[in-house]
Amino acid sequence: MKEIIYIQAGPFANYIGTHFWNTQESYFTYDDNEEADINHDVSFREGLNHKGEPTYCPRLLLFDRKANFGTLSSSGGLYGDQDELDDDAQDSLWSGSVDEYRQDRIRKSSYHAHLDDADSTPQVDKPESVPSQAAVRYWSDYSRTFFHPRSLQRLPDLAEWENPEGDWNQGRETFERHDHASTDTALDTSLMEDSFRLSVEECDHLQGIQVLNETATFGGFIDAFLTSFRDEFPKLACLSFPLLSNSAPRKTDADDDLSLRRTINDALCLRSLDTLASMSVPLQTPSLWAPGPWLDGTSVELRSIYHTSAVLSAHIESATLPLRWKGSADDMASICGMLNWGDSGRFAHLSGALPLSSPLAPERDLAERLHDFTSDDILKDNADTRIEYARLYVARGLSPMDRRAFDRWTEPHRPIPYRQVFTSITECGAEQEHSIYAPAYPTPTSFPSFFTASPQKSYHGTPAISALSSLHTTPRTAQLFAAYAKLVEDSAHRKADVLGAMGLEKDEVKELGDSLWAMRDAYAGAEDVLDGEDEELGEDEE
Amino acid sequence: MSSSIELINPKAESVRRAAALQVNTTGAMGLANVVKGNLGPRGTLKMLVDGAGQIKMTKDGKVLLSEMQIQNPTAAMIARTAVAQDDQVGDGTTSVVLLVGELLKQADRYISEGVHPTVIAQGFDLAKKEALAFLDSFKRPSNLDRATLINVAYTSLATKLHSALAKQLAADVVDAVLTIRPPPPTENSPAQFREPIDLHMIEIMKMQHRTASETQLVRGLVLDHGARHPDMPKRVENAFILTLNVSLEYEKTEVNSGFFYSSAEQREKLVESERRFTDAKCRKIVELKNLVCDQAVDGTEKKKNFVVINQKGIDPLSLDIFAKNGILALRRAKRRNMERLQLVCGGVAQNSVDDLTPDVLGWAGLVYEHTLGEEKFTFVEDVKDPKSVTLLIKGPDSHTIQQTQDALRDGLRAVKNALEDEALVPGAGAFEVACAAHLTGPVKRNAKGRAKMGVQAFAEALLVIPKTLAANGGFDVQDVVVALQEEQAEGNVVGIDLQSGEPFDPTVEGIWDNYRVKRQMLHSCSVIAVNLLSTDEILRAGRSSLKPEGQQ
Repeated sequence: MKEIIYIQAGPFANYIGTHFWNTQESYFTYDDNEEADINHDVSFREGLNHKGEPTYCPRLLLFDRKANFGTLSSSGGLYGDQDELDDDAQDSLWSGSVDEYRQDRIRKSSYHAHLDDADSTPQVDKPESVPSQAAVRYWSDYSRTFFHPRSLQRLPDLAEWENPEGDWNQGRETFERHDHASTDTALDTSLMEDSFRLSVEECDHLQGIQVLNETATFGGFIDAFLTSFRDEFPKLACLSFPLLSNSAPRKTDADDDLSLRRTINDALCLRSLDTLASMSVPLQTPSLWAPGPWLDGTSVELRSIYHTSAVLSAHIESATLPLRWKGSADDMASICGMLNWGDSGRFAHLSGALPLSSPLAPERDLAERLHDFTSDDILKDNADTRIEYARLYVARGLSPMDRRAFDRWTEPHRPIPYRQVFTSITECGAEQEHSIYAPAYPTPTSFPSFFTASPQKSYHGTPAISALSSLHTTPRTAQLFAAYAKLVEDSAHRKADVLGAMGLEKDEVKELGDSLWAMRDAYAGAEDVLDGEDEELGEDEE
Repeated sequence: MSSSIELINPKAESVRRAAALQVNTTGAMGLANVVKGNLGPRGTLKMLVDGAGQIKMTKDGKVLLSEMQIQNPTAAMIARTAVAQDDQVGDGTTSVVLLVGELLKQADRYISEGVHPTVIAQGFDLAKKEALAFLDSFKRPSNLDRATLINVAYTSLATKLHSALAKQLAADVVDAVLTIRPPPPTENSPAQFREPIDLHMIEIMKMQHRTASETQLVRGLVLDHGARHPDMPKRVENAFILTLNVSLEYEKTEVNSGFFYSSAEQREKLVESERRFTDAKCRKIVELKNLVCDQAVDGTEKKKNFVVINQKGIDPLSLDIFAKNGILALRRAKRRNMERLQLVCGGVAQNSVDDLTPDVLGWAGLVYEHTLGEEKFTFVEDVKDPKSVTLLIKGPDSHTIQQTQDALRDGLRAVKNALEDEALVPGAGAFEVACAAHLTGPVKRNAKGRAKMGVQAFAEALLVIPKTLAANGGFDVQDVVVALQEEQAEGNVVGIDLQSGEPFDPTVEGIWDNYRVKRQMLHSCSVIAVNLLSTDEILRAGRSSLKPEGQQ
């Protein structure tokens, strides 16, 4: 058994994570005759609650500000204390008077209310219980999983005038406060010594940690966390998905101090991940996504994080499926090793298309619709012109015919380390022995209903769709780093005050610029054409 | 009267001079009003219930201040200072907030009569200096025997817990600190001062089980995990303890080696050779076990056992080897427990299995596992001369446990402070009453010019502590203060008896406060009050406005 511990930090990360865990939950099989496709013990832990009932909870630590948890309380759910106070117990602690301060109880989300109803009256028509986009107030509103109390890490709320975005040092301090390992307040809990260590203790053979975090609000926090993690686990694999802020370096307005701060903060995160994570897959924030043919077949509302997080979650889930898959020969270290083939670099791109049409039309579905979520420009992930070092495809719900079409299409563009994970639909059993079997992507009722055609496939009774997700390393990453490096260098000269306010010395900024250039150079390799483009772009900015 | 900043940034708001001071004073007094109910053993417990129905019970100023979402910038600044006070000395948060509020309130009286704030600030500075000097003469050097320390711990615990429980825990707290206290330096050691007390060497373990009154001191170590193999013994006596920081997990030698095998067979071979490497490490430990535990089968000697506690991981195959050899092995122990184990059981923690000898082993009379639902606890007890101990907190639910923990934390800090200060200050408001009298008397007389007013304001502000104690006890504030001052004028050390509301001598009743807490309190509250008084413009370019508080 090769366990993974998942880390989520920041509200958007938790939106994505909630979809991720809902999907995991939909893989559960409750019938003894059905063989599970997924090795659930990789991501879930077995336990007992105080009443002695068995529990099955994600191996997860999620971090967010207290106000973002909504109705989720660590004393609720499976490990529930009684809601009201036990007066006898209280009397033994304190005999004096008690003042109560109650915040208004947050109403249960309509989706949860519906699930509760469905539990008591199973006949309720299921499709109606899909949470509407407007009804989602917190990420916990559409969660279908129960969490272990240890998973829920509440960080204190900030005062309204404090803006955590782009504040690197503040993020690091938040971690120190939460971890307490270095302070003298000896008797407080410590994140690394308690929650994280206990999660590791439960694992027989940890394959690695998977980190999903917002950089703007939790960049410094995750940097401090990973530094502390590396202290204890120098070799363990760490796959990270940083969600970049909405200030892309090419578009950063040098006069907007806040967006400059966010960009510099992103740059600091990327540099930190370069040394701390085994493989990182930076993702652009949905507010920078450009609509295009890749959205065909869906009505994704780009402004709704409930929708966009579902899209990202589907691709992250699919791309990492081999890590959880029963009988898979891959683990996190081998996937990271494959992507980082020839030591080409520790950053990969995530791209994908959702949903795929059936039958598959490679020219449309693969050439036009494969969207690169990492690249910061609108150029398509064009298979004809691209050069890449390594690629992993996970295709889900392809029929045998689709698979052949897919093979034909990918054949001419395969880089040397290349792996594809095929999936077939349950119905066509005959061809299964030729490929490894894995299901179409299930969309439980918590998944937004943004598909224009209703899902045709099904996974153990859950509607499912076919999709293609891919992780790949390519020289195009160089562009991303070059843009950051350029901006950092520029601001070192012109924006010393902003950097000063972030607590950065001039030398540190110089160093940051240099490391970003070095990271860029690791990718540049063959692509001189792209360098030329960069030069031009740089001049335009001046 | 537009401020220069508003010319540059029309969105910025500014308030100046009197108005700025007004904002600060309102903020400070508002915050003081929130926490004043906390002070003293008769204060009220606050129960906070958040939007998700989560309960928090607290009487700790620090917890309250960090739980509340303070949106007034002045209040947030004071709260931060107060929390820093707690981080440094472990107590006095509520007092600092109260004093700052009261200092600004007293200052406001003079300022509204036309005195300039800087004059008051000068007076505050002088008064602080004199008050600190007075504190040094007022403290009582103490020999700090166990009985006195229990009084100190009780004074602290009783402000957070039921008095019966406080009485019971006070002794545990004192014994815990005395056990971990480093010995005094010997005659000829180079460093002629005693090592500071490291409270990290007291492990706090929480068990959600039974009631808070079963919270106890364990002379040994309690670990929050157990053996991960079904065949390992659950209870062993007379055990050698090996403290280890060595990975006993199968590890790939290279992160990306996975890619370079040309065949599955080759891969198998590599895995096997790497596995042998891990097995060899386990075997070395088993050899050491056989060496020390080897006994004649029919000997009358008590059976010897072997326990491995590892900071790194132990995988199932390695656990299997240990289980077959009757060894109890725990993986992923806390980093700090490596240090604690050496202090509890003796022995030396090992970073490698290469040169294991019997003298690196520690010893414990009893090691056993206790299971509570999914949680396992391993008790390492019955040890010789422990230098580290565990406080085991029990309670039926998480907020009860938290509340007990907050109280214990304060109690431990109070005992540590007392031992390190080698002095105590009479409690129950005695210092504040005496200091106020000292300031209004000789200090004010010697102060030059208008600084007198600041000194007077400071002295009156100090009285907020006994006043609040009296108010929380349900007594008439004016009566109590007058009675205290009269008694004090006769030269007695006098505090307020919260049972009767009458003046009494706190030293007789054993009500003691920490010297360093009082010192830090005087220091922080005057620094922040002077800062706030000297503010003559508040700017804000952010989202919300500078409207007076209370409108939310």
